[in-house]
Amino acid sequence: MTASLPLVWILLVLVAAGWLAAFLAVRLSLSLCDDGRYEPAARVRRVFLVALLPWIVPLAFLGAALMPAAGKAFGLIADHCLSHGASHPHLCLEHLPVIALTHWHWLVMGLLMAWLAYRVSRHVASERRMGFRLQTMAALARGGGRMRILDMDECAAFAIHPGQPLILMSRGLIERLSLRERRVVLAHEVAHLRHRDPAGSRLLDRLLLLHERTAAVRLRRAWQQAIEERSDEAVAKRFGAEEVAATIVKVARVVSGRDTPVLSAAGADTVRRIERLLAERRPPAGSDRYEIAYGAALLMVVVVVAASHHWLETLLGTLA
Amino acid sequence: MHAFPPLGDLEVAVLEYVWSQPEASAKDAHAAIGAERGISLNTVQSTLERLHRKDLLDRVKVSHSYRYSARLRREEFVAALVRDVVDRFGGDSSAALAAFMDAADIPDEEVLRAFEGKLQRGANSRGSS
Repeated sequence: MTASLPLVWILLVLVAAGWLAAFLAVRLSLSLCDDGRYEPAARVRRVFLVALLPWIVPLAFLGAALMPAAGKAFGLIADHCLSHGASHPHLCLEHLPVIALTHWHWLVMGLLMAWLAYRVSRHVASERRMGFRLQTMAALARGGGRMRILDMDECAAFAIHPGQPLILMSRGLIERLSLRERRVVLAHEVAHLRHRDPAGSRLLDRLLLLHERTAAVRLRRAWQQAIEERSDEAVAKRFGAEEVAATIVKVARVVSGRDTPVLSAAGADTVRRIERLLAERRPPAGSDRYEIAYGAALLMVVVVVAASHHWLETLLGTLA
Repeated sequence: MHAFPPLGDLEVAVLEYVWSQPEASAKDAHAAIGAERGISLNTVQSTLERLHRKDLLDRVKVSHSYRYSARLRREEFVAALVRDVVDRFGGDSSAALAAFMDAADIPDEEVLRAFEGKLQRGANSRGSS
Protein backbone atom coordinates (compact mmCIF):
# COMPACT_ATOMS: atom_id res chain seq x y z
CA MET A 1 0.00 0.00 0.00
CA THR A 2 2.68 2.54 1.05
CA ALA A 3 4.79 1.51 -1.96
CA SER A 4 2.04 2.76 -4.27
CA LEU A 5 1.78 6.21 -2.58
CA PRO A 6 4.53 7.77 -4.75
CA LEU A 7 2.53 6.65 -7.80
CA VAL A 8 -0.58 8.28 -6.27
CA TRP A 9 1.45 11.48 -5.81
CA ILE A 10 2.63 11.41 -9.44
CA LEU A 11 -0.90 10.80 -10.69
CA LEU A 12 -2.11 13.68 -8.54
CA VAL A 13 0.51 15.98 -10.12
CA LEU A 14 -0.74 14.84 -13.53
CA VAL A 15 -4.36 15.54 -12.56
CA ALA A 16 -3.35 19.01 -11.36
CA ALA A 17 -1.53 19.65 -14.66
CA GLY A 18 -4.61 18.45 -16.55
CA TRP A 19 -6.81 20.78 -14.50
CA LEU A 20 -4.52 23.73 -15.29
CA ALA A 21 -4.66 22.92 -19.01
CA ALA A 22 -8.46 22.69 -18.73
CA PHE A 23 -8.56 26.01 -16.87
CA LEU A 24 -6.81 27.70 -19.82
CA ALA A 25 -9.05 25.95 -22.35
CA VAL A 26 -12.17 27.07 -20.40
CA ARG A 27 -10.91 30.67 -20.38
CA LEU A 28 -10.40 30.56 -24.14
CA SER A 29 -13.83 29.00 -24.78
CA LEU A 30 -16.05 31.07 -22.48
CA SER A 31 -16.97 33.71 -25.04
CA LEU A 32 -18.03 31.03 -27.54
CA CYS A 33 -20.62 29.71 -25.08
CA ASP A 34 -22.52 32.98 -24.91
CA ASP A 35 -22.09 34.20 -28.48
CA GLY A 36 -25.53 35.28 -29.67
CA ARG A 37 -24.59 34.62 -33.31
CA TYR A 38 -25.06 30.91 -32.67
CA GLU A 39 -28.27 28.99 -32.17
CA PRO A 40 -29.30 28.48 -28.53
CA ALA A 41 -29.15 24.69 -28.96
CA ALA A 42 -25.52 24.95 -30.16
CA ARG A 43 -24.69 27.17 -27.17
CA VAL A 44 -26.29 24.67 -24.77
CA ARG A 45 -24.02 21.96 -26.25
CA ARG A 46 -20.97 24.19 -25.94
CA VAL A 47 -21.67 25.08 -22.32
CA PHE A 48 -21.74 21.38 -21.49
CA LEU A 49 -18.58 20.64 -23.45
CA VAL A 50 -16.73 23.48 -21.70
CA ALA A 51 -18.16 22.46 -18.31
CA LEU A 52 -16.79 18.97 -18.94
CA LEU A 53 -13.22 20.18 -19.57
CA PRO A 54 -11.89 20.11 -15.96
CA TRP A 55 -13.20 16.55 -15.70
CA ILE A 56 -12.05 15.06 -18.97
CA VAL A 57 -8.71 16.81 -19.52
CA PRO A 58 -7.21 15.46 -16.25
CA LEU A 59 -8.66 12.05 -17.13
CA ALA A 60 -7.14 12.30 -20.61
CA PHE A 61 -3.77 13.17 -19.02
CA LEU A 62 -4.05 10.16 -16.70
CA GLY A 63 -5.20 7.78 -19.41
CA ALA A 64 -2.48 8.91 -21.79
CA ALA A 65 0.25 8.74 -19.13
CA LEU A 66 -0.77 5.24 -18.11
CA MET A 67 -1.21 4.04 -21.69
CA PRO A 68 2.36 2.66 -21.94
CA ALA A 69 1.81 0.84 -18.62
CA ALA A 70 -1.29 -0.80 -20.08
CA GLY A 71 0.64 -1.55 -23.27
CA LYS A 72 3.33 -3.31 -21.23
CA ALA A 73 0.72 -5.29 -19.29
CA PHE A 74 -0.73 -6.59 -22.56
CA GLY A 75 2.73 -7.29 -24.02
CA LEU A 76 2.36 -4.63 -26.70
CA ILE A 77 5.35 -2.56 -25.53
CA ALA A 78 8.75 -3.82 -24.35
CA ASP A 79 9.42 -3.43 -20.62
CA HIS A 80 12.00 -0.65 -20.54
CA CYS A 81 11.60 0.26 -16.84
CA LEU A 82 14.55 -1.88 -15.72
CA SER A 83 16.94 0.06 -17.92
CA HIS A 84 16.07 3.28 -16.05
CA GLY A 85 17.94 4.55 -13.04
CA ALA A 86 16.48 3.84 -9.57
CA SER A 87 15.56 7.49 -9.07
CA HIS A 88 13.69 7.72 -12.37
CA PRO A 89 9.97 7.52 -11.48
CA HIS A 90 8.08 4.94 -13.53
CA LEU A 91 4.57 5.57 -14.75
CA CYS A 92 4.14 1.87 -14.51
CA LEU A 93 1.91 -0.30 -12.36
CA GLU A 94 4.50 -3.08 -12.20
CA HIS A 95 7.65 -1.14 -11.22
CA LEU A 96 6.33 1.49 -8.89
CA PRO A 97 8.15 4.82 -8.70
CA VAL A 98 10.55 5.29 -5.80
CA ILE A 99 10.14 8.78 -4.31
CA ALA A 100 10.74 9.71 -0.69
CA LEU A 101 7.56 11.57 0.21
CA THR A 102 8.16 14.50 2.58
CA HIS A 103 5.67 16.31 4.82
CA TRP A 104 5.13 18.82 1.97
CA HIS A 105 3.85 16.05 -0.28
CA TRP A 106 1.47 14.89 2.45
CA LEU A 107 0.34 18.42 3.15
CA VAL A 108 -0.47 19.12 -0.50
CA MET A 109 -2.28 15.77 -0.92
CA GLY A 110 -4.22 16.35 2.30
CA LEU A 111 -5.23 19.88 1.33
CA LEU A 112 -6.36 18.78 -2.13
CA MET A 113 -8.43 15.92 -0.73
CA ALA A 114 -9.95 18.17 1.95
CA TRP A 115 -10.85 20.82 -0.65
CA LEU A 116 -12.50 18.22 -2.87
CA ALA A 117 -14.38 16.66 0.04
CA TYR A 118 -15.56 20.12 1.15
CA ARG A 119 -16.79 21.09 -2.34
CA VAL A 120 -18.62 17.80 -2.89
CA SER A 121 -20.22 17.63 0.56
CA ARG A 122 -21.32 21.27 0.36
CA HIS A 123 -22.86 20.67 -3.04
CA VAL A 124 -24.62 17.47 -1.93
CA ALA A 125 -26.06 19.23 1.13
CA SER A 126 -27.22 22.23 -0.93
CA GLU A 127 -28.80 19.99 -3.58
CA ARG A 128 -30.60 18.05 -0.85
CA ARG A 129 -31.93 21.21 0.77
CA MET A 130 -33.10 22.53 -2.58
CA GLY A 131 -34.78 19.19 -3.33
CA PHE A 132 -36.77 19.48 -0.09
CA ARG A 133 -37.80 23.03 -0.94
CA LEU A 134 -38.94 22.14 -4.45
CA GLN A 135 -40.89 19.17 -3.08
CA THR A 136 -42.56 21.43 -0.54
CA MET A 137 -43.37 23.97 -3.27
CA ALA A 138 -44.91 21.19 -5.38
CA ALA A 139 -46.87 19.83 -2.40
CA LEU A 140 -48.29 23.26 -1.57
CA ALA A 141 -49.24 24.12 -5.16
CA ARG A 142 -52.93 23.74 -5.97
CA GLY A 143 -54.25 21.32 -8.56
CA GLY A 144 -53.10 17.99 -9.90
CA GLY A 145 -51.25 16.87 -13.00
CA ARG A 146 -48.26 18.62 -14.52
CA MET A 147 -49.56 22.19 -14.18
CA ARG A 148 -50.10 23.57 -10.67
CA ILE A 149 -50.92 26.95 -9.23
CA LEU A 150 -48.96 28.68 -6.49
CA ASP A 151 -51.38 30.43 -4.22
CA MET A 152 -49.63 33.82 -4.02
CA ASP A 153 -50.07 37.33 -5.35
CA GLU A 154 -46.51 37.78 -6.66
CA CYS A 155 -45.66 36.86 -10.24
CA ALA A 156 -43.79 33.63 -10.85
CA ALA A 157 -43.66 30.79 -13.35
CA PHE A 158 -41.30 27.83 -13.05
CA ALA A 159 -40.54 24.48 -14.56
CA ILE A 160 -39.20 22.16 -11.87
CA HIS A 161 -38.48 18.47 -11.50
CA PRO A 162 -38.75 17.39 -7.86
CA GLY A 163 -39.03 13.72 -8.86
CA GLN A 164 -41.67 14.51 -11.50
CA PRO A 165 -41.82 17.24 -14.14
CA LEU A 166 -44.06 20.12 -13.00
CA ILE A 167 -44.98 23.62 -14.08
CA LEU A 168 -45.84 26.08 -11.35
CA MET A 169 -47.53 29.38 -12.09
CA SER A 170 -48.52 31.88 -9.43
CA ARG A 171 -52.11 33.07 -9.09
CA GLY A 172 -50.79 36.66 -9.31
CA LEU A 173 -49.30 36.05 -12.75
CA ILE A 174 -52.34 34.14 -14.02
CA GLU A 175 -54.68 36.96 -13.00
CA ARG A 176 -52.61 39.59 -14.80
CA LEU A 177 -52.24 37.82 -18.14
CA SER A 178 -54.79 37.17 -20.87
CA LEU A 179 -55.64 33.59 -21.78
CA ARG A 180 -53.41 33.74 -24.86
CA GLU A 181 -50.47 35.18 -22.85
CA ARG A 182 -50.91 32.47 -20.22
CA ARG A 183 -50.71 29.87 -22.97
CA VAL A 184 -47.44 31.40 -24.21
CA VAL A 185 -45.92 31.31 -20.71
CA LEU A 186 -47.17 27.76 -20.22
CA ALA A 187 -45.78 26.64 -23.60
CA HIS A 188 -42.43 28.23 -22.66
CA GLU A 189 -42.30 26.21 -19.44
CA VAL A 190 -43.42 23.05 -21.27
CA ALA A 191 -40.51 23.57 -23.68
CA HIS A 192 -38.16 23.67 -20.66
CA LEU A 193 -39.54 20.35 -19.48
CA ARG A 194 -39.38 18.86 -22.96
CA HIS A 195 -35.70 19.82 -23.19
CA ARG A 196 -35.19 18.45 -19.65
CA ASP A 197 -33.74 21.79 -18.57
CA PRO A 198 -34.28 21.33 -14.80
CA ALA A 199 -32.28 18.07 -14.93
CA GLY A 200 -29.72 19.77 -17.20
CA SER A 201 -29.28 22.56 -14.65
CA ARG A 202 -28.66 20.03 -11.91
CA LEU A 203 -26.09 18.20 -14.03
CA LEU A 204 -24.39 21.47 -14.96
CA ASP A 205 -24.14 22.46 -11.29
CA ARG A 206 -22.34 19.17 -10.62
CA LEU A 207 -19.95 19.67 -13.52
CA LEU A 208 -19.18 23.22 -12.36
CA LEU A 209 -17.88 21.89 -9.04
CA LEU A 210 -14.37 21.69 -10.50
CA HIS A 211 -14.50 25.14 -12.09
CA GLU A 212 -13.15 28.28 -10.53
CA ARG A 213 -15.87 30.71 -9.48
CA THR A 214 -15.73 33.30 -12.28
CA ALA A 215 -15.88 30.66 -15.00
CA ALA A 216 -18.69 28.83 -13.19
CA VAL A 217 -20.76 32.03 -12.95
CA ARG A 218 -20.24 32.84 -16.65
CA LEU A 219 -21.05 29.30 -17.77
CA ARG A 220 -24.19 29.20 -15.64
CA ARG A 221 -25.30 32.52 -17.09
CA ALA A 222 -24.58 31.37 -20.67
CA TRP A 223 -26.58 28.20 -19.97
CA GLN A 224 -29.56 30.15 -18.59
CA GLN A 225 -29.54 32.49 -21.56
CA ALA A 226 -29.32 29.63 -24.06
CA ILE A 227 -32.11 27.55 -22.49
CA GLU A 228 -34.43 30.56 -22.24
CA GLU A 229 -33.83 31.44 -25.90
CA ARG A 230 -34.25 27.79 -26.92
CA SER A 231 -37.63 27.67 -25.15
CA ASP A 232 -38.63 31.05 -26.68
CA GLU A 233 -37.75 29.66 -30.09
CA ALA A 234 -39.87 26.54 -29.55
CA VAL A 235 -42.85 28.66 -28.49
CA ALA A 236 -42.32 31.12 -31.36
CA LYS A 237 -42.79 28.28 -33.85
CA ARG A 238 -46.32 27.85 -32.50
CA PHE A 239 -47.41 31.34 -31.53
CA GLY A 240 -45.14 33.52 -33.68
CA ALA A 241 -42.00 35.38 -32.55
CA GLU A 242 -43.81 38.71 -32.10
CA GLU A 243 -46.45 37.23 -29.85
CA VAL A 244 -43.82 35.60 -27.65
CA ALA A 245 -41.87 38.88 -27.52
CA ALA A 246 -45.08 40.75 -26.63
CA THR A 247 -45.77 38.30 -23.79
CA ILE A 248 -42.25 38.70 -22.40
CA VAL A 249 -42.68 42.51 -22.53
CA LYS A 250 -46.06 42.17 -20.79
CA VAL A 251 -44.66 39.94 -18.03
CA ALA A 252 -41.72 42.33 -17.58
CA ARG A 253 -44.16 45.23 -17.27
CA VAL A 254 -46.39 43.36 -14.81
CA VAL A 255 -43.41 42.32 -12.74
CA SER A 256 -41.70 45.74 -12.78
CA GLY A 257 -44.90 47.45 -11.66
CA ARG A 258 -45.29 45.32 -8.54
CA ASP A 259 -44.61 46.68 -5.07
CA THR A 260 -43.67 43.26 -3.80
CA PRO A 261 -40.29 41.78 -4.66
CA VAL A 262 -40.12 40.03 -7.98
CA LEU A 263 -40.45 36.32 -7.68
CA SER A 264 -38.89 35.11 -10.83
CA ALA A 265 -35.32 34.38 -11.68
CA ALA A 266 -33.33 32.70 -14.34
CA GLY A 267 -30.10 34.56 -14.89
CA ALA A 268 -31.13 35.28 -18.47
CA ASP A 269 -30.97 38.66 -20.17
CA THR A 270 -34.57 39.61 -21.00
CA VAL A 271 -33.65 42.36 -23.48
CA ARG A 272 -31.47 39.95 -25.44
CA ARG A 273 -34.35 37.45 -25.56
CA ILE A 274 -36.78 40.04 -26.93
CA GLU A 275 -34.26 41.43 -29.42
CA ARG A 276 -33.53 37.96 -30.70
CA LEU A 277 -37.23 37.25 -31.20
CA LEU A 278 -37.75 40.55 -33.02
CA ALA A 279 -34.59 40.33 -35.13
CA GLU A 280 -35.36 40.15 -38.81
CA ARG A 281 -32.30 38.11 -39.66
CA ARG A 282 -32.03 34.87 -37.74
CA PRO A 283 -28.57 33.88 -36.46
CA PRO A 284 -26.85 31.19 -38.53
CA ALA A 285 -27.36 27.57 -37.60
CA GLY A 286 -24.81 26.34 -35.06
CA SER A 287 -21.78 24.94 -36.80
CA ASP A 288 -19.94 21.86 -35.60
CA ARG A 289 -16.54 23.57 -35.87
CA TYR A 290 -16.18 24.02 -32.12
CA GLU A 291 -17.09 20.40 -31.40
CA ILE A 292 -14.60 19.17 -34.03
CA ALA A 293 -11.82 21.40 -32.66
CA TYR A 294 -12.68 20.23 -29.13
CA GLY A 295 -12.41 16.54 -30.07
CA ALA A 296 -9.21 17.10 -32.05
CA ALA A 297 -7.59 19.02 -29.17
CA LEU A 298 -8.44 16.24 -26.72
CA LEU A 299 -7.04 13.62 -29.05
CA MET A 300 -3.90 15.69 -29.45
CA VAL A 301 -3.49 15.91 -25.66
CA VAL A 302 -3.71 12.12 -25.41
CA VAL A 303 -1.22 11.56 -28.23
CA VAL A 304 1.28 14.17 -26.97
CA VAL A 305 1.17 12.95 -23.35
CA ALA A 306 1.40 9.29 -24.38
CA ALA A 307 4.24 10.00 -26.83
CA SER A 308 6.26 11.96 -24.30
CA HIS A 309 6.07 9.21 -21.70
CA HIS A 310 9.79 9.08 -20.93
CA TRP A 311 10.21 12.86 -20.94
CA LEU A 312 7.18 13.17 -18.65
CA GLU A 313 8.67 10.64 -16.20
CA THR A 314 11.90 12.65 -16.10
CA LEU A 315 9.98 15.91 -15.54
CA LEU A 316 7.86 14.34 -12.78
CA GLY A 317 11.01 12.95 -11.18
CA THR A 318 12.54 16.46 -11.20
CA LEU A 319 9.37 18.01 -9.74
CA ALA A 320 9.09 15.34 -7.06
CA MET B 1 -38.18 34.45 6.97
CA HIS B 2 -35.06 34.03 4.85
CA ALA B 3 -33.44 30.65 5.39
CA PHE B 4 -36.36 28.35 4.83
CA PRO B 5 -36.37 25.10 6.80
CA PRO B 6 -36.81 21.98 4.69
CA LEU B 7 -40.14 20.24 5.27
CA GLY B 8 -41.12 16.62 4.90
CA ASP B 9 -44.42 15.23 3.53
CA LEU B 10 -46.00 14.85 6.96
CA GLU B 11 -44.94 18.32 8.03
CA VAL B 12 -46.60 19.80 4.94
CA ALA B 13 -49.79 17.81 5.63
CA VAL B 14 -49.86 18.95 9.25
CA LEU B 15 -49.27 22.57 8.21
CA GLU B 16 -52.12 22.34 5.69
CA TYR B 17 -54.37 21.10 8.47
CA VAL B 18 -53.32 23.88 10.87
CA TRP B 19 -53.97 26.47 8.13
CA SER B 20 -57.49 25.13 7.72
CA GLN B 21 -58.23 25.71 11.42
CA PRO B 22 -57.99 28.77 13.63
CA GLU B 23 -56.25 26.58 16.23
CA ALA B 24 -55.44 22.88 16.39
CA SER B 25 -54.36 20.41 19.03
CA ALA B 26 -52.30 17.28 18.39
CA LYS B 27 -55.46 15.20 18.91
CA ASP B 28 -57.39 17.20 16.28
CA ALA B 29 -54.52 16.92 13.80
CA HIS B 30 -54.20 13.20 14.46
CA ALA B 31 -57.91 12.66 13.94
CA ALA B 32 -57.80 14.59 10.66
CA ILE B 33 -54.62 13.28 9.06
CA GLY B 34 -53.09 10.67 11.35
CA ALA B 35 -55.73 7.99 11.03
CA GLU B 36 -55.71 7.84 7.22
CA ARG B 37 -51.90 7.72 7.17
CA GLY B 38 -51.78 5.07 9.88
CA ILE B 39 -49.51 7.12 12.16
CA SER B 40 -49.66 7.46 15.90
CA LEU B 41 -50.65 10.48 17.99
CA ASN B 42 -47.02 10.70 19.18
CA THR B 43 -45.81 11.10 15.60
CA VAL B 44 -48.28 13.92 14.98
CA GLN B 45 -47.29 15.51 18.29
CA SER B 46 -43.60 15.43 17.43
CA THR B 47 -44.33 16.83 13.96
CA LEU B 48 -46.18 19.77 15.51
CA GLU B 49 -43.28 20.23 17.92
CA ARG B 50 -40.78 20.25 15.02
CA LEU B 51 -42.85 22.82 13.11
CA HIS B 52 -42.94 24.96 16.26
CA ARG B 53 -39.14 24.71 16.57
CA LYS B 54 -38.85 25.72 12.92
CA ASP B 55 -40.75 28.91 13.79
CA LEU B 56 -43.69 27.98 11.60
CA LEU B 57 -46.23 27.43 14.38
CA ASP B 58 -47.14 29.34 17.52
CA ARG B 59 -48.53 27.47 20.49
CA VAL B 60 -50.31 28.17 23.75
CA LYS B 61 -50.82 25.75 26.60
CA VAL B 62 -54.47 25.11 27.33
CA SER B 63 -55.00 22.84 30.32
CA HIS B 64 -52.62 19.88 29.70
CA SER B 65 -52.11 20.23 25.98
CA TYR B 66 -50.84 22.72 23.45
CA ARG B 67 -53.00 24.49 20.86
CA TYR B 68 -51.11 25.32 17.69
CA SER B 69 -51.71 28.08 15.15
CA ALA B 70 -49.79 29.01 12.00
CA ARG B 71 -47.36 31.90 12.29
CA LEU B 72 -47.78 32.82 8.61
CA ARG B 73 -50.85 32.67 6.42
CA ARG B 74 -50.68 30.01 3.71
CA GLU B 75 -50.12 32.59 0.98
CA GLU B 76 -47.33 34.31 2.95
CA PHE B 77 -45.68 30.96 3.55
CA VAL B 78 -45.81 29.97 -0.14
CA ALA B 79 -44.44 33.38 -1.18
CA ALA B 80 -41.62 33.15 1.40
CA LEU B 81 -40.75 29.64 0.22
CA VAL B 82 -40.66 30.67 -3.45
CA ARG B 83 -38.59 33.75 -2.57
CA ASP B 84 -36.14 31.55 -0.69
CA VAL B 85 -35.78 29.20 -3.68
CA VAL B 86 -35.36 32.14 -6.04
CA ASP B 87 -32.76 33.79 -3.77
CA ARG B 88 -30.60 30.69 -3.90
CA PHE B 89 -31.08 30.35 -7.61
CA GLY B 90 -28.67 32.13 -9.89
CA GLY B 91 -26.01 32.44 -7.22
CA ASP B 92 -24.08 29.24 -6.69
CA SER B 93 -26.79 27.06 -8.06
CA SER B 94 -29.18 26.74 -10.98
CA ALA B 95 -31.50 25.01 -8.53
CA ALA B 96 -32.95 22.58 -11.06
CA LEU B 97 -35.47 25.24 -11.87
CA ALA B 98 -36.26 27.12 -15.06
CA ALA B 99 -38.12 30.37 -14.55
CA PHE B 100 -39.87 32.56 -17.09
CA MET B 101 -37.92 35.72 -16.41
CA ASP B 102 -34.93 36.97 -14.50
CA ALA B 103 -35.72 39.34 -11.65
CA ALA B 104 -32.42 41.13 -12.05
CA ASP B 105 -32.92 41.69 -15.75
CA ILE B 106 -36.29 43.35 -16.02
CA PRO B 107 -35.79 46.03 -18.70
CA ASP B 108 -36.36 49.62 -17.60
CA GLU B 109 -39.40 51.65 -18.63
CA GLU B 110 -37.75 53.25 -21.66
CA VAL B 111 -36.64 49.91 -23.11
CA LEU B 112 -40.07 48.37 -22.49
CA ARG B 113 -41.74 51.30 -24.25
CA ALA B 114 -39.38 50.96 -27.22
CA PHE B 115 -40.23 47.25 -27.54
CA GLU B 116 -43.95 47.95 -27.23
CA GLY B 117 -43.65 50.60 -29.96
CA LYS B 118 -41.85 48.20 -32.25
CA LEU B 119 -44.43 45.48 -31.64
CA GLN B 120 -47.26 47.95 -32.25
CA ARG B 121 -45.71 49.14 -35.53
CA GLY B 122 -45.32 45.51 -36.61
CA ALA B 123 -48.98 44.82 -35.79
CA ASN B 124 -50.10 47.99 -37.64
CA SER B 125 -48.13 47.17 -40.77
CA ARG B 126 -49.54 43.64 -40.80
CA GLY B 127 -53.04 45.07 -40.33
CA SER B 128 -52.69 47.55 -43.22
CA SER B 129 -51.19 45.02 -45.69
